[in-house]
Amino acid sequence: MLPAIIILGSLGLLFGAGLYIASRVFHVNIDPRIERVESALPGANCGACGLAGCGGFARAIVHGSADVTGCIPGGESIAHLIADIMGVKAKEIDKHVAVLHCGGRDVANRFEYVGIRTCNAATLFQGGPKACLYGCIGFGDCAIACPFGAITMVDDFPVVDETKCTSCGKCVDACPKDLYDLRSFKKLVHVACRSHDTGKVTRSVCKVGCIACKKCEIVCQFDAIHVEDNLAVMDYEKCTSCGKCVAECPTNTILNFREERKAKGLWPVKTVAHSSPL
Amino acid sequence: MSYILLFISIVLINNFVLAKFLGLCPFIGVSKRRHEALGMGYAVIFVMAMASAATWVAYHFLLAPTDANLFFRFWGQGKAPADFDFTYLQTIVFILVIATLVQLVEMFLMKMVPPLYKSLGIYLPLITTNCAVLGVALLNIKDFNSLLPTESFLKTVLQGFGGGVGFLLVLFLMSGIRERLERAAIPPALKGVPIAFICAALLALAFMGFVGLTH
Repeated sequence: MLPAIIILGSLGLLFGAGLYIASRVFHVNIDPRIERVESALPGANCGACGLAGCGGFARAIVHGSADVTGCIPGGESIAHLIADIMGVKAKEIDKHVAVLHCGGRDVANRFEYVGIRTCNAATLFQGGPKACLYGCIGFGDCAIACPFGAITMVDDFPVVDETKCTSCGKCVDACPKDLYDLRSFKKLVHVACRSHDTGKVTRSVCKVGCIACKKCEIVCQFDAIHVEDNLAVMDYEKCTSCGKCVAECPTNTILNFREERKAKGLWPVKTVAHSSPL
Repeated sequence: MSYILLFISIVLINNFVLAKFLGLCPFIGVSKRRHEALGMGYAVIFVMAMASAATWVAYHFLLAPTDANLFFRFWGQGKAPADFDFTYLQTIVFILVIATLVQLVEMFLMKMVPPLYKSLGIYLPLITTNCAVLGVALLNIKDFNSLLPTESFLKTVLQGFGGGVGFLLVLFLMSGIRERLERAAIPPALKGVPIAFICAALLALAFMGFVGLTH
């Protein structure tokens, strides 16, 4: 009895004291700004900043390894909030939106798929039921993945609501066909196709697929669009959204978002003048 | 040679999770994503090896009735080492040692090796009361107590490390299976943990085949 009490008591005392000393020796000061920045963030932990959650992003900002404008869903307002906390001036943010690179609403099915109705599951089986192996399957994995309700399925085809999209990139990860890209809001012209099939094959399954006719390549004055591997690919560095390729495209594969965004009052982009106290 | 055999034995044949059924809680809890499974597995390797060494020291210098026992050294004049047999305290002392060690390691990593802390940090407190860690400590005493101190210590640390490696292996395999299971067509009643248990049982059966390695 007595030895047990002595051994355990002395061990407990020793370890307790040891841990106390260790906690003093290895004490880490935590910057109070981290907490303030974290409380200013949306808290969705979406990971669009490329860091592990909002906490990780807050630490990165305070340690100087992330930019105050890094929170993409938070947009300009939160960038300015964080800038105020950090005592710096926020740069203007280039708003991005998710763009679906497929327009094939009316692509027929090759077979009747009766498995689990998610795009991911369907892709595992013969690349999905659609006749176009590159295009949208239409089970709406992206709509489920979107934490902001910006993607809705209309007749089994996803529609992106650009007012709600925060360009967090969840849909980019969710789509097994890799049809989404985050594009600058200032770019209005997009190729709504991802098919690398030859023109003939594409034409046989989809009315609006890129047939690689190269008309866009010829008409473009800015050398911004090129047909690579049977698909027109936009070079967004050079594209001025002039819309000439849109008019030229015989299959209406290239879309101009200008009118649609104007109708919703999203275009032209208004830059909010904001002065942050330094 | 016996060291290599010991390592293979503890990783594959006497695997902690699938043969000894220790550490089943994290095995089911942290095996949903491969990335998390790896983080947990590395942390377990680390803690098991450290805990094996620490508990060996505690056992041999405080509890065991041998010449090395510190109580015998200081107060043992005219008495036999057998009078200082405190081995009945080993379970509670080991728990104390392991819990303290994990706390200490966590603090040390947070200050000195932040990158390692970031990858292991959230898993370390989970391991404090993991029965596989206590299991390996008790098993070490049972298996290697009769050996010479040097060999006993080396084998203890090796068994701790190997136990962690075996845990990582099984956890990683299981997380791969469970990632696939999420996309498989499973009857609703079996979805989630039930099917994971069935898979764990099949995995354990498969691992029983490794017993043949010894023949």
